[in-house]
Amino acid sequence: MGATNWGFKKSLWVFHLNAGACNNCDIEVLDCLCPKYDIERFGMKLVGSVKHADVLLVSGSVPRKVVPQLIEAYEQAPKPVAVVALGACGCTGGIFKDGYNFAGPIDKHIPVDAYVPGCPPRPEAIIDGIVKLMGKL
Amino acid sequence: MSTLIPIGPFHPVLEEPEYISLYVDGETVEDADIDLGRIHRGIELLAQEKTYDQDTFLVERICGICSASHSWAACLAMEDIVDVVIPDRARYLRTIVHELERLHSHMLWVGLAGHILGYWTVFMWGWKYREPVLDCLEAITGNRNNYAWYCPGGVRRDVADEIWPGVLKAMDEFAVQTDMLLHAILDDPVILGRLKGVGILTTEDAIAYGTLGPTARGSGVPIDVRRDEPYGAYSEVDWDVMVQDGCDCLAVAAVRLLEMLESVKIIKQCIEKLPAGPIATEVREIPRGEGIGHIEAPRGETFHFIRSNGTNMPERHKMRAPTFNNIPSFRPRVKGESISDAVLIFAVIDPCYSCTERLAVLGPDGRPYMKGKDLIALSHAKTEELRKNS
Amino acid sequence: MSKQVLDGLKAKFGDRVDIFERSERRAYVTVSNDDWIPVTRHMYEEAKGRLATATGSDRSTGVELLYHFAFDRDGTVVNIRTTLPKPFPKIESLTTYYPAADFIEREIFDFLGVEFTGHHDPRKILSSHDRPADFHAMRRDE
Repeated sequence: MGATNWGFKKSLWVFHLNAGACNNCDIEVLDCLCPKYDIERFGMKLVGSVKHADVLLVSGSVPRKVVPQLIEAYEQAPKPVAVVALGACGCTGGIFKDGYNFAGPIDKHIPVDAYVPGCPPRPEAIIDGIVKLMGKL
Repeated sequence: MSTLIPIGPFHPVLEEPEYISLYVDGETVEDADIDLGRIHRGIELLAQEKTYDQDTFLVERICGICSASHSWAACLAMEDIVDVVIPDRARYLRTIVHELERLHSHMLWVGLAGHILGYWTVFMWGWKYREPVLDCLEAITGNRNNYAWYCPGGVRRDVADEIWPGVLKAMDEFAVQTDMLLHAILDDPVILGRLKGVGILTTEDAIAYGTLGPTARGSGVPIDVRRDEPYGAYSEVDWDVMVQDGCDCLAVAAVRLLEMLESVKIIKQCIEKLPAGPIATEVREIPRGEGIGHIEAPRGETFHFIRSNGTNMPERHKMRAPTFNNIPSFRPRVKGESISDAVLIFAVIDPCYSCTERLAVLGPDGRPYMKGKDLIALSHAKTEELRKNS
Repeated sequence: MSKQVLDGLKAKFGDRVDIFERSERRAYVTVSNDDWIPVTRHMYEEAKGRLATATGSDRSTGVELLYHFAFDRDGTVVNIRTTLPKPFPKIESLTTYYPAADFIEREIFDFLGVEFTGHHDPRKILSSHDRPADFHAMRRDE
């Protein structure tokens, strides 16, 4: 086990990126923080800067205008960084895939390590996704 | 000489990617500009390619927090074309889900406002109290968000009577918690200092900018679609429109907090009066014509316009969320304020954003001797002390 | 109900307004391009309407503008309609006297290419910066 993997084993710091989501995934992510689900038990917390992140939690169908910022945010994150695509839109484009402004899904622009489907995924599903990701790292 | 401060598009206090440019001189904001479009998914065009039944699911996904509002407004617009009579039970069920959504949305805002103010406790509390509301929604509709509850002519599913006592109990508890939170927030000298007199939007400006919902009502504009053009069951229950004339951020916060108590009143009355009967009138086709549906979403009036050409898809489906009208009011609000208040002022118009039982002070024997209630009492005493000294 | 508002329009503009009362709470008023500003200004300043929003749509006859004025005191919506000729639709902006029209007119310009003369900030509002300047998502003729 290298130093990075040892660091990943506990206390994943998560940065949440909304790339054109309807807010539902985003409020469920915040729900994970609230006392009922409390992801800090697992050593995870949301951080305010992409430069502190171990995990990028990306939600949304990626409209055309957000693509440059999404790629730049990924490039700014310290590597290795795990990317989680959140929600039906993030995984496949969902109901928006026929839209004229649709430029996604997320894995078209940045490499994705885990997919959490659902519209919106329940907080349990989000936590499960990230815990499984921890096992993979 | 003004300096440009960029906020966003990915910023910890912004839930959604927006890009705000603040032009500042020293610490004073001189002007602001907002660049939107990073969540523009082309829903209006997509709606023209989907059938009316599919449309109700699509419009739910405009915003996850106002999902009931958008699908109800779209249904009202369709029903305006067809002139269909909605069964009584459906009207009441629609109203209950809509008001539950208002509760969770306002509580979410209270939490996020706390987060922006740096009051992590308010964030945790708000979000903790919000969870039972989501549980009620799950019990009634089957999902925490995106309820798929409304269809043209009524609602999609019936509800078993056994769940109502649980919902009523949750509402009683919620009212107590909201009341406590209301006093905790409105009595706290620090929160008052951050909110009072900050971000003034005069009544004239509120009207001229076409602001809606709590933003307008916090500036003394008494508009509420629920009262002005009653839909659902709102004309059959007893409730009040909350209007504050403070014109500042505090007034908007007070409107939202007081409205939650009104919503609890509405939900309880609706459950008590809930009639039996069918849950939907079948709408077989939508004839040629134009229809308008507008309802009072948690953030203000949601407006839907549908033009039908007699086929199973709308020819034009225009939808306008309240934030679209509320965002321009950010500019008059923020001018002349300090940079540190800018994000708060932005939050006050919309962004849809607080643990005590968990915290227990252990005595020497290792058993908790102070629990949530004691800590709240302690906090009240401390606040009183602070107020006397100031 | 909306009678009062519609009577006021009839008294002031006579035959120049074509009124269709869809129901007790909904009315559609069609005006010519020249009467656009006088009628909408009357709706806001004298009838005290609130511009809820505006719909722009590309139809066979031209680009149609439908401005929805809500009257909260009696719960009615009166819609003012005008049709602009293609391919270069152009009309005077409401923002000269009513700031609420700011964003919605930028949106109609963005999607349908309607030029609003007198608008203080005629930039595109939603579409991506990498699109060409003459890209209007809801125009059907291109």
